[in-house]
Amino acid sequence: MLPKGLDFTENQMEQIESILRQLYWDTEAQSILLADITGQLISVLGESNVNTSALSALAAGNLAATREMARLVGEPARFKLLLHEGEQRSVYLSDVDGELVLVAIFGQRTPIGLVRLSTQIAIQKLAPIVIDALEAAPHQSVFISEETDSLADGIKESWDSVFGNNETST
Amino acid sequence: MFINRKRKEINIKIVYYGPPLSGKTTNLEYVHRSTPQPQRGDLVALKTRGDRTLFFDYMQLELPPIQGLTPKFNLYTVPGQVAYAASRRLVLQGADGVIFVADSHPNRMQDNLYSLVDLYRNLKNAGTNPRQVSLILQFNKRDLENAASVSAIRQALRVNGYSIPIFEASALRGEGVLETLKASIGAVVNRIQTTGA
Amino acid sequence: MAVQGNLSEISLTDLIQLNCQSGMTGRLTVSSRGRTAQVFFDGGVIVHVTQGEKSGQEVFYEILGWDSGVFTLESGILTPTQTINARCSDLLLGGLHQLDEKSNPKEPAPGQLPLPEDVGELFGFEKSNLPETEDLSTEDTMAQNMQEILMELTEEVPGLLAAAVVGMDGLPVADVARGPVNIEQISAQMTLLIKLVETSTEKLDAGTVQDYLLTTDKAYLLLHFLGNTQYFLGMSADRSKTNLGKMRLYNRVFAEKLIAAMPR
Repeated sequence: MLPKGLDFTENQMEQIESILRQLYWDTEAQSILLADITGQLISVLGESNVNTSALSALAAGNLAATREMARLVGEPARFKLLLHEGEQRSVYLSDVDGELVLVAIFGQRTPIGLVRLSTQIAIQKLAPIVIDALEAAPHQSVFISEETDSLADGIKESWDSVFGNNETST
Repeated sequence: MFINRKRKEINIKIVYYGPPLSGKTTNLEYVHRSTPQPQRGDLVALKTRGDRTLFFDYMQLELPPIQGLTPKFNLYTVPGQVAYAASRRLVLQGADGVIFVADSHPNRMQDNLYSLVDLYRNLKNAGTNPRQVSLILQFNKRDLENAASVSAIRQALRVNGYSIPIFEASALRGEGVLETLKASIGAVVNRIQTTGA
Repeated sequence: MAVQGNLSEISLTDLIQLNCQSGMTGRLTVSSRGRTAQVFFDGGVIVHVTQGEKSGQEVFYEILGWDSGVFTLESGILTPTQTINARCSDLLLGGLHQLDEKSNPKEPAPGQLPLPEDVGELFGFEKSNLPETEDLSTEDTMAQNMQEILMELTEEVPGLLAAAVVGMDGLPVADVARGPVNIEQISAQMTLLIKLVETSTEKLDAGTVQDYLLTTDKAYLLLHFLGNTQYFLGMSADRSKTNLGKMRLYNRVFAEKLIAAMPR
């Protein structure tokens, strides 16, 4: 188990999504994304034509970079939020307990103060869920397989069905 | 690795690592070009003006479901230059598999070694056990006329005497790129299956 | 016995490398701009470095940057303690890399910390049961490595015109030349020269030849056999631009490197 691996139960996912939905409505956001600090997308609400996986990777990178900046300038805490203000859209990034990144994308109609407040509330609600997930015992192997081979074959088949089989032996 | 049980997805992070200009970005660009539309996300590249990777390149590759879970592979490349060490550490966080792209040019052997040792240290600093990351070696630029022999590179990397998955490649020509990635994916899935981690 | 000298004549790096390669046991004391440091060797291995209160690898990397000052080399002196645990070559490479590194000084350059001998083990790979079957000493690889070594040589020796590794059959295995030079012809001539001289020294009962130095009004020509192999390293340098002492030193040092790059 990777030390920072987060695994949410279905129940926890539902709780998380309900918190995000609340945030989404409160801020009239265009999208809300939740990702882990390694860039993995956990959940997303809102506009679906955005490349959300890329966005979560970039948001995590952004937050990670500023975290490093904080360290370099001697700021012991993490920077709590990042606001990128644009002409039509703004992006608001928050650090959730050092484990997750919450991204809110909103337009001109929403006052930034509201986004800030609503996000803080959302983070307070998310924090205990994150802590629970971290403290939980490592999950069981997700793949149920009697023979180890069948999984290896499964992934091979999956790959070959997309790329064709052009295996060259080395 | 992240499992989204609601969406029945498994997210796996694979990082291309290696000395500067060894062909990490070229690898990813080729993968992107070769992946059919439905299976690939956009390729995101954060570059300097000189076209060198500044922070990371990223794309997502999705494969058809296995045993009910859809595998989504998040592929990253790191910037190779020494000055970007902090960025490399950040990108390495949470990596399930690493593809080490070595440069076959005979003058790059030392750089290859430094980078591999650098990988080891950064994994440790990121809190990841280097023995738990599925590592695949790719010897790139085999198309060079004076490319060092596979044995010479193994020697330079100080991995002689070990059973290691090595793939020869020419990312520029698109040779060996997909084979390497396929092997990396296989190794990660295999490890998850056998260790649950 | 003590040898003294000035760092303007020989760099600290060269000095250290020489001691490593000659298997020296003793103490090298260096003084530069009011600071003094000591490097202890044991059979050609650096075991202890100290400057004032500090000791260890950090000190080593610091002093490598000292480009002026004096040194004293005393053989036979044993080290009081051991604070260094890395190979000579790794230390020197690491130190040089650090000196080259101009970017963020806080970020340790990859070569600055000691390099592990065995990387396969670090990543938990399994040992393979098969021996390394590929013979690394194919003609190509040999020539390639030697070529690289010769390139280094030309960069180190001022005034160098050409350097070549030649077999006793007169054929060059690797060569580097500055300017238009007919290497094949030169190699053949050098070999002829050696053969002639050997016949003479045999007849004079003078022992085995170790190296050849020819001085002309324009150049120095230095030939040195690579161990007891059938190959020799030949160097020619512009007399007005080079320093014979340095040339001899490098000839010896690089001959060692070339021997190591040859098939056994």
